[in-house]
Amino acid sequence: MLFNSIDFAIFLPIVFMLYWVINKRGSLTMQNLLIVVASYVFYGWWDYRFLALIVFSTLVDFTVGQQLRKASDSGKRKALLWTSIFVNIGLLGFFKYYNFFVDNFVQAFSFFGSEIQPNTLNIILPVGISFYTFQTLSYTIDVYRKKLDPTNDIVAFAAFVSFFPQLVAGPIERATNLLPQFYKTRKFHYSKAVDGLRQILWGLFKKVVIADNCAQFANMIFDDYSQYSGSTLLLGAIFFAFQIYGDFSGYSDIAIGTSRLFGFDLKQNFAFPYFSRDIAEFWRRWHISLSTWFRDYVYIPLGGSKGSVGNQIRNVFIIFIVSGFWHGANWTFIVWGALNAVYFLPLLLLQRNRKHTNVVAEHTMLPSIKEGIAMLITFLITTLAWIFFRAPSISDAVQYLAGVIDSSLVSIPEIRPSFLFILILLFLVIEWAGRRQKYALEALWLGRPKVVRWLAYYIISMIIFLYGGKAQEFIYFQF
Amino acid sequence: MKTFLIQIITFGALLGLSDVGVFSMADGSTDAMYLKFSTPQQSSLILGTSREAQGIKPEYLHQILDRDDVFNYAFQLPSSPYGEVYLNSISKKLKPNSKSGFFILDVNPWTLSIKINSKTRLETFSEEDNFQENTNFDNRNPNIEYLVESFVSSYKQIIINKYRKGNYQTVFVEDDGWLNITLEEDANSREIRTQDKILNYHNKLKQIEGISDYRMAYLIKTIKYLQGYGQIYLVRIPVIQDMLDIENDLMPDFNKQLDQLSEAFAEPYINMMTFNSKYTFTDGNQLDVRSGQQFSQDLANIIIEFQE
Repeated sequence: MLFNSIDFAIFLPIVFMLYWVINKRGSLTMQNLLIVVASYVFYGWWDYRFLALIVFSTLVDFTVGQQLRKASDSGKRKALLWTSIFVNIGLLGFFKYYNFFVDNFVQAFSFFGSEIQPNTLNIILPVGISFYTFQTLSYTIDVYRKKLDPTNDIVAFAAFVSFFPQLVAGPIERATNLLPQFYKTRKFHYSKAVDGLRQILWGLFKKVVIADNCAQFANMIFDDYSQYSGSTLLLGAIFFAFQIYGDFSGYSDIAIGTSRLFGFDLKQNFAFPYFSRDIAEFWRRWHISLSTWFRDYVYIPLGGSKGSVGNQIRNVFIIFIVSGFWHGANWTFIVWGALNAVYFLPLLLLQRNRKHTNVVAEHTMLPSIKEGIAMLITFLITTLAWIFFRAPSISDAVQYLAGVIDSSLVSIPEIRPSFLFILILLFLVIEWAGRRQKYALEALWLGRPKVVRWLAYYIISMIIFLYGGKAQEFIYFQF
Repeated sequence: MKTFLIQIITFGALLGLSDVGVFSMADGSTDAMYLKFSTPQQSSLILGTSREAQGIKPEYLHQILDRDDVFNYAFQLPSSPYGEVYLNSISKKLKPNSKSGFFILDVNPWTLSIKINSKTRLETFSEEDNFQENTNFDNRNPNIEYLVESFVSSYKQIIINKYRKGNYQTVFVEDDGWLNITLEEDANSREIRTQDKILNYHNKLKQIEGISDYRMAYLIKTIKYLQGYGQIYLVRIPVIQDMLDIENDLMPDFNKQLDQLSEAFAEPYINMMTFNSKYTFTDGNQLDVRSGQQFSQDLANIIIEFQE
C-alpha cells in the first residue's frame, strides 16, 4: 500500500480510530496486536505471499533473543548471533543478490574463456526486505552485546518488526529506541498528533509535488540522454537529486508523522542534507538511520577511524561500498558508494570530517558567501554521484557524465519547466526557513494565529492536490 | 481527542470541498476522454477510434437525419479497438431500454488487428487496464472516479486547459462527443505531420499480424449486441492514398471480408474510402475540421439513402 494512495487514505483513519478505541479499554496487548494485524494488511496489500518472510524473520530473531537470555557461554552466544545474521542476510542475499552474483560469476568465467550456463531465477524482490532485516538484526546484535534485554512479548516484538509506517522503506529503527515503546501504553496527545499530521503534510509535499514532478523530467532526460546538451544533462541530474531527496525524505516524514499519530517517536532520518557544507556533513544528514546502522554495526567493529592510515582508508571504502551495495544489486550502486568514499576520504585523513556539526547559518538568516559556496560545491559533487545511482549501467553513467562535461554545458537547457523551478524554489525557501527543526514545517508558523497556520496548511494541501505529478512508486521500495 | 477529530474533519471537509470544486471545472477541455464519461447514457453512438472521434460530428448528422441523440463515443486506436474492454464500455454508456438507436461502427484494418505475439487479452493488448476498464460509472458529472483513476496529468491542468481552449494544439471535446483538435493548418505543418504518420504506420505495420480472430469475434459481438438497440452502419472512413496502401498491405481482402460480414448480419457496409480525394487531412490519417464537417454531411446523405 502506497502512502500517496486512496487505499492508504482509507486505511489510516480506520486503523487510527480502532487503535485509540482499544486504548481506551486499556489493553496494551490488544493495541500491539492491532498494529501487527494492520501492518500485515498494509504489507499484504502489495503481496501477501511475502508476509511469510516477515513472520519467519520475526520468529527467528525472537527465538534467538530468548536463547541469548539463557546462554552464558560465549561460544554459544556467538553461534546464536551468527544464526540470526545467517538467516537475515541469507534471505536478503537470496532475494536481492542471487541473480547479481550468478551473472557476475558467469561473466567472470567467460572472460577467462570458460562458458557456463547461467542458472538465474525469476526472483521478485520483496518490498522492504532490506529495511526490516536490518531492523531485526539490530535487535539480535544489541541483545548479544547486552545493550538490550531480550523481550518475552512476542506480540510487541512482531509489532516492532512489522510496524507499518516504517516497514517498507524505513527509517530503520533500532530495537533500543522502538521496542521499549511497545511495552508502554500509548496515550493520545493532541500536540503530538497535530505535529504528526504536519509532518505527513510536508512529506506528501516532498513526494507528490517535488519528487514526482522532478521524476517526469529526470526520467525523460536520463532515458534519452544522448539527445541532450550538457546543460540539460546537468539539469536532469539536479532534477534527480531533488527527486530522490523528495521521494525518500518525504517517505520518512510520512512514516515518522504517521507513527506520531499512534503515539510513537521514530528517529529523524534526514536533516536537510542539501544544506551541507562538506560531504561528511552530508552523510551525517542523509539517510541517518542507515548510516548510523552501518557505523555502529560495521564501521566501528572494523576499527572505524582508529588505527593505521591504511586501515582507515580500508574501513571508509568498506562502509561506503557496502552501503552502496545495500541499495541494489548493480555495479552502479557500488561505484556510487566508492565515489562517495573518494569524496569523504580527504576530509577524514585531514581530520576535517567533523568540522561542520552544527546547523548552517545557525544564528543568521542567510549563509555567508563561504558557506554558500561550500553548500553549492557539496550539492554539485553529490549530484554528479547521483548519476551513477540513477543510470542503468556504468557505461551509461560514464557517457552521461561525458555529456555533462561538454562545451554545451554553457548553453541554455532544452528543457525548462518553469513551474517546476518555482516549486523547487518554494520548497528550498521553506526547507531553509525550517532547517533548525527536525522537519521544515515543525515550528515554522507556530507563533502565528491559528487562522494563519490553517491557511498555510490549506495552501500546501491545495498545491499537493493541484501540482501532484504523475504518481510514481517510492524509489526506496526497490531497495 | 475530540478537539483533534473536530479539527481534522473540518479541515478535511474544507479541503474535500475545494477538490470537488476543481473537479467540477472539468469539461471537454480537460482531456480527449473526460467528457465522454461525464455525460448521460446515450441511445445512439458513433464508435471507433480517433478517425471517428475527429471525423464525424453528430451535429451534422442530426441536421440531415432529423435526430438529436447521436453521441460520438470514439476514442483512439490503442484504447478502443474492438474487444472486450470497448464492448463493456459501450454497454455502460448505452441507455438500457432504448430500441430505436443509431450506431456508426468504424471499420478499418487497424481496429481489427493485434500486435504480433499478443495472444490473449490478458497479455499485451493495448487497451488492457486503460481508462475504459477503470471507469465503472460512465455518466457522472463531475466524474471523480475517472479523474482520480485515469486522468494522467496533474489537476492544475483542469483549470489551465479550460483557459487554453481554442489555442494552438489544444484538444476540446464538444458536448456531442466530437473531438476538436486545434493544429497549425499551413501546408508545411500538414506535410511534416503526414510524413511522420506514414513513417509511424509503416513501422506499426511490422509489429502487426493480420486480421485477428479475437478482434473480429468482438466486432461481431458488438454488432449482435447493438442490433438489440437499433440500426447499425459499418463505415470505413477515408485516409490518404499512402495510408490506404499500408492498410492494403496489412489486409488486402479487407473490403471483401466486410462485405461478407455486412451480408451475414444484414447491416450496411459503407466504404467511404473511395471518396478520399475529396477530403483534406490533418496528417493523412485524420480528417481536418472542415473535411470532418463535409464528411459527416456526406455520410448522413448516404445513410438517408439506405433508410429510404
